[in-house]
Amino acid sequence: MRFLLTRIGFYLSAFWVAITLNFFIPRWMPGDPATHLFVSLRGKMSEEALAAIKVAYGFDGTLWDQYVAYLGKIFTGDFGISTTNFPAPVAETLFYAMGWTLFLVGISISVCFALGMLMGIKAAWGQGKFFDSFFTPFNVMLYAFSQPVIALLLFYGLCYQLEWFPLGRAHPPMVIPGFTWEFISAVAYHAVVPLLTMIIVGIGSWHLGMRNNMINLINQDFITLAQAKGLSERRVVYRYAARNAILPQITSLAMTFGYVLGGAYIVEVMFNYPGLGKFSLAAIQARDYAFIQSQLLLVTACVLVANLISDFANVLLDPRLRYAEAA
Amino acid sequence: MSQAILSIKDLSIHYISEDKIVPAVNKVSFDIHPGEVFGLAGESGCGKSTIAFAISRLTKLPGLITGGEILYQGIDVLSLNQEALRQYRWAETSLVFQSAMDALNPVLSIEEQICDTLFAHQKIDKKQARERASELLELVGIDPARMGEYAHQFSGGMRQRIGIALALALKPKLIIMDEPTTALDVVVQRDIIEKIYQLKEQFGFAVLYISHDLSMMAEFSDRIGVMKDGELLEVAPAKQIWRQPEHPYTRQLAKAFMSMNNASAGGARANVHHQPILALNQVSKQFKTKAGFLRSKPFNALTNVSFELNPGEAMALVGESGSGKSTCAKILSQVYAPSSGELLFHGKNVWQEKASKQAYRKAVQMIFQDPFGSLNPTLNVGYQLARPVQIHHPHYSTKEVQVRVDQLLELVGLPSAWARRYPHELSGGQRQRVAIARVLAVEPEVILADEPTSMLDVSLRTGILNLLKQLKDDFNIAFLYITHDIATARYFAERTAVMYRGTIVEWGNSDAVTEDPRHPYTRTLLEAIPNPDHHLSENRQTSLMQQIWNPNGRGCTHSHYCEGPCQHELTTVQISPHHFVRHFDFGPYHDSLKHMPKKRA
Repeated sequence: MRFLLTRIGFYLSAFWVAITLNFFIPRWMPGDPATHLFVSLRGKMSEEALAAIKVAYGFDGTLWDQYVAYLGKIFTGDFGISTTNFPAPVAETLFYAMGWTLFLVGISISVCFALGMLMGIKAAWGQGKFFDSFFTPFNVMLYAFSQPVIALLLFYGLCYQLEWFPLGRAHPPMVIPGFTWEFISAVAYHAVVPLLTMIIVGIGSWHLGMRNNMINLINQDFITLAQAKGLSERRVVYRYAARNAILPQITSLAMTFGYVLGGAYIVEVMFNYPGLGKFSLAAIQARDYAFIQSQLLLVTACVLVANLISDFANVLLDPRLRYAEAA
Repeated sequence: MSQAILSIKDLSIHYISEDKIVPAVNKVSFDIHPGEVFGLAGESGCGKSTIAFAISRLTKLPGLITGGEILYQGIDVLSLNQEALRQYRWAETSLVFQSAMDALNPVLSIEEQICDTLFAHQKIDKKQARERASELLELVGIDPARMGEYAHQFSGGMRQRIGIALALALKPKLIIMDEPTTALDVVVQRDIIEKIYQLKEQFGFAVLYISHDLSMMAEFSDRIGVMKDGELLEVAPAKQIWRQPEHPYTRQLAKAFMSMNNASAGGARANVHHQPILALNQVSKQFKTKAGFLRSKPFNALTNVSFELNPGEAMALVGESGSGKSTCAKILSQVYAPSSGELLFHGKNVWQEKASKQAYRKAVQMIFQDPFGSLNPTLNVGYQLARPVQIHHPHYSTKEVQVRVDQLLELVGLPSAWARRYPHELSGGQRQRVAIARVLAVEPEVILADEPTSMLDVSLRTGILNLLKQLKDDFNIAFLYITHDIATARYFAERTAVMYRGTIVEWGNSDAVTEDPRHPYTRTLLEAIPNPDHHLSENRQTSLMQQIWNPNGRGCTHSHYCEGPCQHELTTVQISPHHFVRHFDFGPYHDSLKHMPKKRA
């Protein structure tokens, strides 16, 4: 229990460092966004207007006042007004986009993790047999193709030539979001190709990771002992070998979560999917500071939460960590 | 004789690789009778474990059973189908592995690992399985209340007991034990072996006991088979193997143990030296252990340890794992700084005079336990010997370095052409010789040898120890020999100090300490030495160790031996001019021997 509290404390301070850096970095850079705006308008803006904009962006008062106001805003969910989606507040766009991204990333990672693991287990247990010598290099090859290539191929083949799937978007504009069959089926239909892209590319690393972990374990005495005990093969493979091989994978899962939040950019932009990636790209092109900053913060928070969950999961799954403090 | 329970006929096993086929077991035949302990002795790589795995048909590629039969009570094990094999495994023959550390699944509780074995073979419910599990743990002396715990929460000896409980789970008629005590301290080894023997008497199972340790085997087994290079050389009753071995190889093997157990290094030299080279003076070392959030609990690894090392003389530091002997070595090699007390090098306090550090490093060298880990696998022997020569003699020419390397190899009994070889081309004993040559390269005054032979086969041990003795005399080097084996201590070292829980409890001339031991722990250590002339079945009096050894002991320094309240104000008593012992006070409950033993499960 104490271990978990320490971890939570650690992640809270990490988050605090992240939001503080997020506050100071733009202020260390020469010129604030309001001044940039003022300069780019070449004197067409009055001094009063500049002051007003500075207030709106939170660049007035002492640094300390700004910092306190900034913290207050973060914890009330007020991230300011987005300039690209004016006059929508950043928070609104951000959470809307994040919903779609989490939908894509959540499903693709879960499927990759599950499939990759099962394939890795099977490959390792029959090391050198057909399944291993075919699927292991095949999955690694797909992994090496990377998302843009696979996305383009699928887009061209399935969406453009065969016209089996829509060319983009999360759902047709005329379908009103809601808990209706029409909406849900439209979303599922639109998500097929983006998800397929992410899954095809993603399986390889899980497959390879799990296979290597398993192979290192297979010659351990306790696996041989489990076989000697006359346990069923299923039990030896899953309760004895895979149960131990999965432990390092949990940590990678948390790390991948952050990475894929970034990796979803490609798929989202390609398929015009309304996720974080697509909005962030637009925001970067339009120098929408409020949005970029908030989005960065959000990704940081997500990665920290994912790590926290993996810490908890590790403690739950590995008794050696659970009792480390007692010994 | 009764019908054999297991008979192996002309068994051959080969290791198959892409370019060659290597025989591991060559036409081996033997029988095991019900209730018998059959010992299979031999050095590493002789094929004895390969046979053990084959009996449960656990041979994995690249190993392949290429011929012969394994008959278990008339059942042809090699022709069983998968399901019949699964049912045969464990219910008929079970296994106890060498390394108790790795034989248990780290993420499943002990209870679960015993119960899943039961479920795989019997139709019983959870409650019955739990009852059986606690019954089994009780049999081997583990508190059944701890069965929800995991492997890492038990000590090595306790894990091996759990392994035995597991092996008994289905009441098999044959238990195969592959080096069941090799990784354990001598006292724990004795404890486990006696426990197995007692259980065997109780349940009447047969044991296939596999070990390289012929002396322990002679004490424990009824018949012994000796293996070499995949062939079974001879099978004979245990006593006969030990007393009148027929095969020359067996004779050689028995002799290696003999010389180790009976010889003595002679007494300490008369006090001709003026000053010790290296001395520890009242050294203590504390470690902080984590006791929770931002709190730490000091752990005393060493308490007021003093000894000195003299030129041309070896001192042995004997004790069980965790007794602090390796901490001593790390303080002497300056890996750790002592928490209090001083380390004197030629009478000067090393930790105060930083300038002498380089000189100290040169003078004090270390030989490690593991010859496989202590040499860099990517560099050849010659380079690994040349580097220290170059560093300590920067003015040497390439030619001179070369000459010195050849000379070093010759000193340790290796041909100079081997300078071009890489560590993986050498055997364990040869590597240890290279490690010794590397140490000699800098012409040290002191060598710290941390269990230099414990990972080697017994026949090689004598050779290495004799080499070290030779070097000690030729170069007048002071040795600190760290070991858990008091018998080799006497063989190698003139003086012996026995360590127990961070203090030296008895010290003096090796002969005096081993022939007239005074401290209960020293006596326990000596009793634990295998005695091949006494078969376990003949020696039924309860030994001192059986009375006092408590596997669950924790806490106070003497908790292994007593239950009384801690009041150990230890004073030193001089037995003879060269023999001292810490006075041991077991409190008001007991005197030195007739004390109150802890309850044994």
